[in-house]
Amino acid sequence: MRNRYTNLSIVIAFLTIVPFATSWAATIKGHISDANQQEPIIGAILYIKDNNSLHDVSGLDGSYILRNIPIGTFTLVVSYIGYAEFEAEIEVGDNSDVIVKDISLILASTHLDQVIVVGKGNGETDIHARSIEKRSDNVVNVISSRSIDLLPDITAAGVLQRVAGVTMQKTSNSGEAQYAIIRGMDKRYNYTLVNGIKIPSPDNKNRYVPMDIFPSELLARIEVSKSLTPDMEGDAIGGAMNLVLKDAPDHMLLKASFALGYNQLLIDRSFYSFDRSEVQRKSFSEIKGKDVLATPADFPVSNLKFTPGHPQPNMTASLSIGNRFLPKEKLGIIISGSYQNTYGGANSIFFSPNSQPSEGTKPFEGNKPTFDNIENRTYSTHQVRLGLHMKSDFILNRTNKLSLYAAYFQLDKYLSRHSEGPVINGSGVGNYIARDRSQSDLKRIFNTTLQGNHQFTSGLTVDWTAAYSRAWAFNPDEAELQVNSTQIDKPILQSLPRIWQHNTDQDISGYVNAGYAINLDQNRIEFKAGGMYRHKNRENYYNNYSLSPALINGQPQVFTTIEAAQWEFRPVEGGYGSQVNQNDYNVTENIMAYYAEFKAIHKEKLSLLAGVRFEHTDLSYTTPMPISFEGRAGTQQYLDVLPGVHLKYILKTDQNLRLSFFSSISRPGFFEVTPYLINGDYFDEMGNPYLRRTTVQNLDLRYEWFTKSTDELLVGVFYKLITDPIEYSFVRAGSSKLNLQPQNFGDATNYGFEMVLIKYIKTFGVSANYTYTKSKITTNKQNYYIDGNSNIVSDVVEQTRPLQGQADHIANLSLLYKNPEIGLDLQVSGIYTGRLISQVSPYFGLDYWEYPVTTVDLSFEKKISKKINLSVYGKARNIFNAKAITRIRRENTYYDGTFKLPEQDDPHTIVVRKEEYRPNYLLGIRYSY
Amino acid sequence: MKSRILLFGALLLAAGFFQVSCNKEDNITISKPPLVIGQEVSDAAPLSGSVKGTMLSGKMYVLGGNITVNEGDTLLMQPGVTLKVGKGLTILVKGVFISLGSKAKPNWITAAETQSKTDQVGANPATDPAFSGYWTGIQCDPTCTLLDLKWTHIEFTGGNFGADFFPAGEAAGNGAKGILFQNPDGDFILEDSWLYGTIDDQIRVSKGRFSVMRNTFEKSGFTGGDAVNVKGSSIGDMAYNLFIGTATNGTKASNKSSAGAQTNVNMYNNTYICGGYRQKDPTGRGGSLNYEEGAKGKAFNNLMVNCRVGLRIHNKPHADITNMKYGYNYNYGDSLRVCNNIYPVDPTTSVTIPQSTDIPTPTSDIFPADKYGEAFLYVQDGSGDCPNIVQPYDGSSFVGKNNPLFANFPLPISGISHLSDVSAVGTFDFHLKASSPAIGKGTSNASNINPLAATLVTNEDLKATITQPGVDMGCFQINGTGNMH
Repeated sequence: MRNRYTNLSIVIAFLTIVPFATSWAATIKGHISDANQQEPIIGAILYIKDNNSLHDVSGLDGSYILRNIPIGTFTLVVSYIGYAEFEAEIEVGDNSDVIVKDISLILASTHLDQVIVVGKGNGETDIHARSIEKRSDNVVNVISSRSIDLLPDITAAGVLQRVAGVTMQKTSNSGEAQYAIIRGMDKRYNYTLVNGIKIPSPDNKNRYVPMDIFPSELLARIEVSKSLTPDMEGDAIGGAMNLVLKDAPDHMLLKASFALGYNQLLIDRSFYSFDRSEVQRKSFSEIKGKDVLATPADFPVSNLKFTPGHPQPNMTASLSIGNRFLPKEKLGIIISGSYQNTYGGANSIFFSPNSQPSEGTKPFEGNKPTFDNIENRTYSTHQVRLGLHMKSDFILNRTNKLSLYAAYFQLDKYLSRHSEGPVINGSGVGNYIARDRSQSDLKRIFNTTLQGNHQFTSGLTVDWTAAYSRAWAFNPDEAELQVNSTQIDKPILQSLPRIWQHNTDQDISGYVNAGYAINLDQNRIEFKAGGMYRHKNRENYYNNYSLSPALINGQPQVFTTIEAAQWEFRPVEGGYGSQVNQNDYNVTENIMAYYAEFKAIHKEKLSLLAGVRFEHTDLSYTTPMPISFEGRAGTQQYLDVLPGVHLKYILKTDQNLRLSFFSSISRPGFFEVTPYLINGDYFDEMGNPYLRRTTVQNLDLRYEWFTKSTDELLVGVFYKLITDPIEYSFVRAGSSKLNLQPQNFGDATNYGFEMVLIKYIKTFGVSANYTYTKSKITTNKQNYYIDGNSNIVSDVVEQTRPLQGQADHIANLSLLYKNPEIGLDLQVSGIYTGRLISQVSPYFGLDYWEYPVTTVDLSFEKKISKKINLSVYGKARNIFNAKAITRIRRENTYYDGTFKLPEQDDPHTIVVRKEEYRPNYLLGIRYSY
Repeated sequence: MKSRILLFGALLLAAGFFQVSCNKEDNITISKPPLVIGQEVSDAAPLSGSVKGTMLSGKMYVLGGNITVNEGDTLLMQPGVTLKVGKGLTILVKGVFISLGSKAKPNWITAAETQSKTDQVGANPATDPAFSGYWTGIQCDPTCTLLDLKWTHIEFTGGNFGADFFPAGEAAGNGAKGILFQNPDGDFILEDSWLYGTIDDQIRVSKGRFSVMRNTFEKSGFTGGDAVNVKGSSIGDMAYNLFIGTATNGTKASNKSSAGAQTNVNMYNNTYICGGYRQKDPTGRGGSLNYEEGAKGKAFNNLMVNCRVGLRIHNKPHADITNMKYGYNYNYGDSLRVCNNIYPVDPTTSVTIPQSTDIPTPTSDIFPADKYGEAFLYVQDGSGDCPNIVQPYDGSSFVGKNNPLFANFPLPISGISHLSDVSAVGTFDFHLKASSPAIGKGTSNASNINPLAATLVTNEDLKATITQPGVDMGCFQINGTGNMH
């Protein structure tokens, strides 16, 4: 390609230019793209050979521009890693003004061309992400690894909140995103996949997975599917989140990052750590046997000694190594690890509600909220997050590939909580209560999958998967010290609960899919059928002890130090703890599912995918309760037939119109169908063995315009008709107390509008999404009021409200600046989450509403070397210290007057919780080879 | 000598005639066969599992395991039955349980192993078997339609529920209430009985109709708990009971966890001795009578001696003050500390209005109307709570005044280090001496106080026996009515 005369011509040109320097006028511009995929290449270097002043780097849309080109003939050179260098001669004539030159680069290495099954592409780019969205059969939103790198988030949960229609439920102990609410559908209505395989949850009660266990650095991309095709598992109503971990690379890959950071909160105040060296993984009765009586001496108290201080800096590190081996590079392997050791916390004020409101003063104006305690809470949260992942593929030949992957995720949280404040209501009014709690929450997920892809004839493809997954968690020795005082020097020691809990959830599953495609005339028809079977086994263990303060000289014990405190079990049988109870349970669930679908594509214009999925569920649980206990064991068996029709009309090559209809379900949590009883903070909670699954009919309409391969405009509407949604509500049966119980509630609806816009202009980009959601559900609520005869009565009334967790408006806006020339990426991201019900009250009108929050994050990445791929990056989260405020939307009798509560700012709503987490900073370096 | 004998004989004769002439009605009593329900319960082997039928008079039964009276079944104890309960065990009542002791032949439901009763003043509660929770108690499910206990000793309750046996709403490892009743459509009758020793509440009525009359409560609650504690939707009378050394209150009513009807409780003619001193909550949660959280009722003729606080009409959460009636209550205190809390003051926010019928008389110089009157204390804000509460007052003029003159309980109490040292009756006698200033100071006027008589059982043997309010303060009437112990 190289023209040996080029140099000469440039010399000539140069000589020509000099005399006519004043006539420099022409502009050369165009786009640089990949020759095969026609996707823009960002950051390609362009220059005019032998001219140092004329150069550019292609922008986010692949565009470049060279101005002030003198008349003459030049050699334009374009280079980009992994691609063959491109050179072209350009002639600039007298009347040339603007020359448009689009350039296609060809991959330097073409070893993968021989492999058909491996539809390779760099799965980590934005372009690939847009391409998935465009080509998929269903409604999908994708965030690529490249975007994730630049996002301020360090966990998958953080990243998910950037996806259109997703809100994240945050932890109250550090304000970090944890559970996904998709399109206003609560966490229970969504599922999580890792590499397309559903994984179990380490949660002790539910199916949903805490998304903060996944470090974002291991992700190749996150896909959120909002409509389900029959080949996908049918138990999502909001959506399915697929975490695609990094694939084995095409060539040698080495990536590493290291960062240090700090939380502003822990600069401003102390972090309270506790000694966990004596915390036993298992409870006394598990170690020594159920029939052995524990004494207080068996319960060391070192985990109740809290040390204030400023912790070490937060640290995150990651390493990925990958390459291809063997002749013809048949074997590809990637091994990645990510480690995060972070300290955070929260300061909050909380007014703990009396379980029953006041009847109020006027007739028929009941349910006046009342609060027992003012609690000023200080959370100190230490998190250690580890993610390990290995993915390998073995290409047997042109038509057969095997892949093996394994992933392990671990999230250890060590939480301390100090809370103090006066009792302002209730029998113990006038006390000042101080509590110190220590908790260890240790969660793990392991998943390994063997997968085969085979192409038998030109039309038949088969893939199969065998997967083993296990999720488990330990919550050893949750302990809370409490002292009550009226005199500051005489705090009286109260009971000390100690709780042990652990659970495992194990899946063995197999999947087989077969596809067959035929071309008929101008139509292409693809058949696909398959099935899956999963055997799940879940075990829970729970035991709690309550140590009582001993009397000292017949009088209540004055607290001095935790070491000096004297404890007893009263009665001494308290040393058995709760032994066995309903909170111990085992669940076995077998799911067999099979489906058939066909896809007809007409003239590359219209694609219709239709099919049906059958899911058989066979769940059985046992508890250690005696035979006399109603519901000690039970089974639930049911069959769901889930049809789906997905229509895609290709308006133009860059525009789609989609219409989807599908049915899906959501199974109750495992714990919810057992007859459990948990003593809650305010209400006791009990299970419901008669709880049914939720079924739903989903309708989606979406217009998509992929203006460029990095840009898109998506506009859609959705409608869901939900039968038997599951909500927690008061129930009287079985107990004199009013207990909360998960129940099915008739029909609910949920509909909304969704929009995504991504647009790049040269070095500037904007990424925005907006979702409006409206849902309606009617449930029973308690009403407590004075009736016409001056009696205080309570009855049950219906109330219609939005679904729990559904915000009316959700918006994300990111402004990006990407200058490949100087290797700088900058991003400002804002998230707006509208008002939502965070907690449904059993009483009419007393739901807890989280008020709108806007958080703003900043991040950047700057290359610091042109020779090696080394960059500095930084993330600053929550820079404006957005406060989370929860309110009851009732006239505020606590706004002023005798019973004025702190932090009240509105006479028409009552602030019941206010939390802040302060900004978080991280600065690091990233290297890739 | 002879003449004296003659005189005595004449008097005796005269008395006899007088007796006859006064009795206008026939005084005929005939023996009735003891009530029998179902089959006889065998005492041949320790009981466990499902039990129903009749325990025969004079027999002793042993609980070797937990027992259940199933829904639809009845277990009846005839007079003079002793039931020994093994350690940690529970009587779970899903149907009906009746213990028909009599004054002559009371029943016993007590620990299988002999427990020493440390009834001397000043016994250390930490080592007192009364607070050891030997067995859990009588635990009723919401399906229990009748729990009827008459002339029955129930002792050493309050243990933890074992691994797999407890009533609805409870869990393994939870501490039990001595008696738990929780059926809003059921009857709970407790009469003339003796309740001795428990760790938490001795009686908990979560919901239900009840009649709790003429009982003696000793050692109720270790470091918390009330003798009789009723929650939302409970209706009935608590009258003529003697409470001594309760950890917290003797009688308490709340409408918490209401699920329909409002809690309505009459508390009259009860005697409360040294109540409220065994609490680990420093503010104290009351010490005698307590109404809170939407409960209403009437409180009259109660006698409180050296209690931590007097009648507490609690403010936050407030009792149904507009439907509360109280008065004719009698307080005695040895110390200024006690007398300054006849009407409970800060920090235990209360709105008890001193009544002119109370003893000691709350004179207007100590209790001016603008600070202690209804127009001030009963002001309510939008949530029904009262911004004004009972403020500290000077009770010094009440110290040691109005000694009720018990038959055998010298006041002021001497030889003790804490008022909590008094927690059992032992050799004390709380009958009023004939010279007691508490005699005749109460009210029997039905417009003030009349029994609710809420229970619906009509069977002659089983129904509640209501004693009408009496004019002598406390549970022992000088005419011999009231508490029969």
